[in-house]
Amino acid sequence: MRGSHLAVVVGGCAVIVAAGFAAAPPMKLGSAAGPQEPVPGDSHQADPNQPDPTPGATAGGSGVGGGQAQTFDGPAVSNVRGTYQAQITVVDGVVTDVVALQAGTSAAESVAVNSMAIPLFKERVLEAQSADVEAVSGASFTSPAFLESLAGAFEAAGLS
Amino acid sequence: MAVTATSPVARSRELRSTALVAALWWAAAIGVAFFIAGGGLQYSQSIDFIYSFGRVAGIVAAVLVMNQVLLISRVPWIERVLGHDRAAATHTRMGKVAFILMLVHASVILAMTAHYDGRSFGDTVVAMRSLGWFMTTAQIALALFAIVVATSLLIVRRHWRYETWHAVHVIVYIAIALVVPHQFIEGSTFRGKGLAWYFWLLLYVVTFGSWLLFRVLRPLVLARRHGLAVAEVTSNPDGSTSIVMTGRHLDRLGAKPGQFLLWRFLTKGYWREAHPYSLSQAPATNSLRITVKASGDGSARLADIPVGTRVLAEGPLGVFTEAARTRPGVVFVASGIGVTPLRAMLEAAPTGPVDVILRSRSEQESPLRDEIHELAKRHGATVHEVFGSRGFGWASVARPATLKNVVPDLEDRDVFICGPVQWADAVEADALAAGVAPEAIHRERFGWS
Repeated sequence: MRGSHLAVVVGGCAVIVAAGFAAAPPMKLGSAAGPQEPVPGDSHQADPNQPDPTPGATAGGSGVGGGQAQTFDGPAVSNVRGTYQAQITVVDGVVTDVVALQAGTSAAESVAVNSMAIPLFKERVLEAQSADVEAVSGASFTSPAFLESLAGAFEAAGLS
Repeated sequence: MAVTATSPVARSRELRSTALVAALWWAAAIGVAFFIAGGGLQYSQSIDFIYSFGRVAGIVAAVLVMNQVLLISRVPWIERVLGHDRAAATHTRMGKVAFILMLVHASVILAMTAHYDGRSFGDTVVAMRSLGWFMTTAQIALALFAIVVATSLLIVRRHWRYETWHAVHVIVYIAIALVVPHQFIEGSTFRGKGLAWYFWLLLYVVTFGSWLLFRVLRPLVLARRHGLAVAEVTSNPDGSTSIVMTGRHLDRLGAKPGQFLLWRFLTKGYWREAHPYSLSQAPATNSLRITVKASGDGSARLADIPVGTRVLAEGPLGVFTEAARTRPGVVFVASGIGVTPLRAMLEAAPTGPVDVILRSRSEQESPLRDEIHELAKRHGATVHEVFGSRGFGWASVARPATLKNVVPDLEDRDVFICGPVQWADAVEADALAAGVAPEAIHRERFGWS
């Protein structure tokens, strides 16, 4: 390949890739504490296969009355794309928040997918007040694992 | 004074071929651009860039493999613009880059996934398979590609038969079939039907469409239309074999003197392999002739091919024709059996002064010698014969010569060279040294593809 040919090839490639950069979303993935941000565990380690029977951070009995917020953790569910664990917050028998204690791995792809999927799950669960919500498309590994953990959390809260 | 002005014909062909090769690399850049535009470089830690790099390697490898298939699909516009030999050379060059990138892709993705998941590299290889069947097939494909590359290197080094190389190379098609699913199902660029999805779809459809159309369907249609079959097999005194094939409407093939076709003889022991042979006679409406000399096992056995054998032909191929001319006169330089395309071109009476240089071990071994002399007499061409064992350069010990001694007005000639690669290199070097412009030098190498 002669010099001028090489220039045409390399120059063209540079322009095309630059256009890709121009159209790209912000490169740095937000590390601000979102709901997907793995929250440092509150001392207890969930048994991967059993729903955690004990309420989480906030003390309390069956959670009726008093307007007390209680949290319930689902089991940690693992697959090839990482480990997923849901936590729900219940006030007077109403689910008021959904977070992921763990979601996937630190891989950028995993962070990107889960920061998209977990808020959607939160939205759906809060609206349905149930763990029986639709999977998020584009998150085919997060969905079944997180839903399984959610179901466990609902069970632990006595809401299923 | 050497003529350096580039002729319009040569310049436009050069431009188109440069643009074509550039476009093939640009396609890879487009794949990467879509990846970046889709957020492929998003990161939360700087180590994520290594993973992204692994993905880019996979994307470029995928485009290059598609380019490779396209380059050997015999799609006419590529054959016309690049020429069969340059297409094959570009195919080989891209193949080397593609294979290295595939290895980089697989090892980086595996190592980084192992890092993210806290598994060992070996466990990650196994864990990847639980993503779905397409990861298992992708891993098998990688192993197949490695086998093909390794055996190709061995074959080149050990001078194995063309047939062995060909058989091994066919495995590549299986490997591609196995590797493609993971690109669409697992590759995140393909998730969601954005512009990128259509880009990749177009790439695959054009590539495999061309391959299917021109390597499978067209030969079958031609076989039906022309009903080409072996009509006559003649052993020539010089040790070569001429095979005349007859058929219907052969003018519709559009073959020009100097071109070659890939021939597949449909009989036991021959049908698996297609061999490139030049037409050794200007093509007629109802017959085509090739002349082969025992070199590979395939050509030795062609002397025994039964009359009546049906023939599949792919082509015509090659840019070694009168249309490539850029100068008023012409010199045909042939070594041994390389004389065949030049013999056909000579028959078609090229314009301007014509000189033919025949290089052979001996007069007796000079293929189609009588025909060349007769045609030269008819069209007023001058034949120069250089016999004897190898000397310095392209000529012989007995008759050391340079092109300039033989043809004094060399710079006003197109030089068509056909013969073994090393010998042809020597002729080309002589021509360049004598001041012949690069675009006036024409060579046809039969690529292995």
